Amino acid sequence: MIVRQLYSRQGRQLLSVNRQASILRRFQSTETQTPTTTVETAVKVETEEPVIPVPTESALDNSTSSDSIRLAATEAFSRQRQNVKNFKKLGSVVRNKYWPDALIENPPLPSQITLELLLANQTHLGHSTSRWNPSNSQYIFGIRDGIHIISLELTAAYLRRAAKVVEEVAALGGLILFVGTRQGQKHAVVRAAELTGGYHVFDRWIPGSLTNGNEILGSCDRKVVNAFDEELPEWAERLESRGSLKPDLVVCLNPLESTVLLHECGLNNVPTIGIIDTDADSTKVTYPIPANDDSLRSVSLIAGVLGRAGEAGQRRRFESAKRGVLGYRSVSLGKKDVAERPESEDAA
Amino acid sequence: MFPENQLFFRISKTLPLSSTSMAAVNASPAANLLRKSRLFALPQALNLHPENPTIRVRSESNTATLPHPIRASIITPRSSLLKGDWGLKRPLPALSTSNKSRKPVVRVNAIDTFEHVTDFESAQDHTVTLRKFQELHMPMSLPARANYTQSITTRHESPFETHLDNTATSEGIDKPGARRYRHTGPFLPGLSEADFNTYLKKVQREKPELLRKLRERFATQLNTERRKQAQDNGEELEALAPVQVTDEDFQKYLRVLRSDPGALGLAIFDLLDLPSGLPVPRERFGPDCYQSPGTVLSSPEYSVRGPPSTHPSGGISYTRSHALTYNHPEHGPQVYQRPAEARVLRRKGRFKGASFRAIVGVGGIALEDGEPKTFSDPNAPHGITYFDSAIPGGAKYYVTPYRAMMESDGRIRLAVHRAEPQTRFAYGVQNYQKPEAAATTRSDSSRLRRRPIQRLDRSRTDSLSEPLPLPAEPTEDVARNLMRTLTQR
Repeated sequence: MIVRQLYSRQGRQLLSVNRQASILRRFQSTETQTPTTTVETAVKVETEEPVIPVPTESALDNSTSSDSIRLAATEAFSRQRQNVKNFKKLGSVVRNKYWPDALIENPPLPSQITLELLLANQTHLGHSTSRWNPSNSQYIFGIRDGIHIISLELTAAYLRRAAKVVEEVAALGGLILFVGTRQGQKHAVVRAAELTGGYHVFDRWIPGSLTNGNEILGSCDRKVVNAFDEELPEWAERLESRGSLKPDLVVCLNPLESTVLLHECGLNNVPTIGIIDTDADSTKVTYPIPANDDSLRSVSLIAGVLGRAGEAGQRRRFESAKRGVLGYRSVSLGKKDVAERPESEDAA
Repeated sequence: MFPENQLFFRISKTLPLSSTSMAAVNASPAANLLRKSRLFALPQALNLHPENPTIRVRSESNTATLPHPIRASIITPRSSLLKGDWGLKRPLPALSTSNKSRKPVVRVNAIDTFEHVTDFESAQDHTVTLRKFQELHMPMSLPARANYTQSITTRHESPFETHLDNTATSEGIDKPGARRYRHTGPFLPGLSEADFNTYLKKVQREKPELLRKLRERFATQLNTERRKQAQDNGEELEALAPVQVTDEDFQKYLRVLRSDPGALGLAIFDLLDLPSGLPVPRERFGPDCYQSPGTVLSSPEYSVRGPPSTHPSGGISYTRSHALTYNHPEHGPQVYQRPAEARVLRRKGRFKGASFRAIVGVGGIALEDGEPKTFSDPNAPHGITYFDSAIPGGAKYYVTPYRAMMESDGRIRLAVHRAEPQTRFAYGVQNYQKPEAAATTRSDSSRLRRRPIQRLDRSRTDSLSEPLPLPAEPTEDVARNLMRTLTQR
């Protein structure tokens, strides 16, 4: 056993020894004659580069030759750096490249909504005509290839209205919750919540989170912040007596699967914004946006526009807070005069 | 482009404008945008068996690749493919698109269905067939069938020639000798009973218009006769007044036409613009049969099978001629193009007393192994006369394609002959040989090397006598030889 190990170790070393590669047989072939062409144009012969000797063990022993090697290597290195510097300016720069995630990372403002933008992001494609919900007849433009076409103008109008709602709720310091539980919607939902300064659910809405919130979200972290979103730890003991928090606005990207969520919102008087495709019931949400809810681009666009609206609202809230104007009734604890704005850490 | 489009219909209903371009201008901005969108610009699916269900009995499997595509193929850029974005109602799953192929191509049967899925399938079958066909570098020819009595191959005639590439609305349709590939009327032998009845009803509806046309025709005929008569009598031609056709004359003309089947047949074919069928000799014709005029279709085969359902080129190749030469670095310009590999799909054999030829597939197109016309075939490629399971990858051999045609029903017909040994040698390809046979004929390549390879710029006899080209040959001779070869071909 030991011998075999030794042998294998030696064999590996033998493999790593530099040997001349065996010349391939086909290069020795004389059967095909390579036609030789005489080129009349004189070719300028390049002067040979100074050859940098490869440091070997014997060379390392000699100190004088080691200096010259180091010098040559330094020169070669600086020359190479100079070449990189010279050639960096050459070549072309690719601009206006299509970036699929641009819609999510850098979404358009509500003022930038155009019909072309909506069309390019497939918001007009409804469901099969046999799947339609007649409550959506006002949003339907026509039929093409067996599917309903949603009116682009109405989508734009309803999206702008929803953006205003989100902006005002954010400006008054409301809690905004984005819910999109379909596959692939995660990125858009998280980004929209990030822009709005709100919260998100992308995997599953736990039924009863609103109607039975104390049981389900009771163990979640909560904090009290002032008008500038700075935490106020002295309010922590007061939080114990308060129930779980409820959002002030829910944006639902897939109302078809979120029946329970929308029902709970209805019971708790929480306004909702939803993407209503031609097969969804538009009466389930407070502010419908008639659009395609299957295309990821369509959903990303709508979530992104609402996120931008929320961002504008938050900016307005901070500006008015600097002026001392609050969108809600201020509460003081003892002698300190601070505003209370409870926030919840999302458990999901 | 969207005659059946309900969307379009709705717009034209709300805006009662006669001109569609005016409607496009005055429609809502969203309607204009939608009309220009790429998804809406996708053509409607074609009908697979357009108009001749009775002409041929078909026995096909439901899962077989269709003879021609009926839906557009869709691709998407790689950046969008990453997220499954194909510009459709919903992203397509990666499992059946990008995970299966590096460059997925799909065709969409339905954008959305009741089951909330997009009905799509891979369109690689036709897409790859087209790519393989384009690699053959073949021009399309008008269909022609070689007789068994003739040993020559059919002539190449490009469908793009000016006098052949015509429809009823083409500019050059009135020129003498102009032929066309499409009539406005249907091909009557290819119509089913129901279709024929529908067509009859349509003609009946158009009766006033047709009678007006017939009257014009009658007036022209009278004028021509009058003019000819005047010319014969030496009258002044400018002073001739056009003949006025009275109702009485016209009724009389109609009665004459009805009593003369020959004249009525010609008039009907002309009025309804029907493609005429097979030319039948006059003596075979009964006196009471309605005569059809001679065909003006661009290929005689169209009068048998009906006018083509597509453009005669099928849009798969736009080159007019086969004037493409491969210049071999060693052996010079080659007479034949690069051979393509043919896979034996069914060996040749006999079934119920009838013998059939082998069926091979070349570039995704199935065809009969063409050669030879003799009874014995000693040099047949391996695996063509009997099935051999020992051949790795199945039996294949090299063929040289020489004609590609589009049949009336949209099938590609390819004509090939077996690649000659010298051609195969020049391009460095070999037919499969059994291992033991290959061992005995090891010197085959050296034998081929000694034999001359046919060049385009030499006539056959020259190249046989001179295996190696002289390096310094006068260029005049080369040009003369080339011209001679070209005129012979």
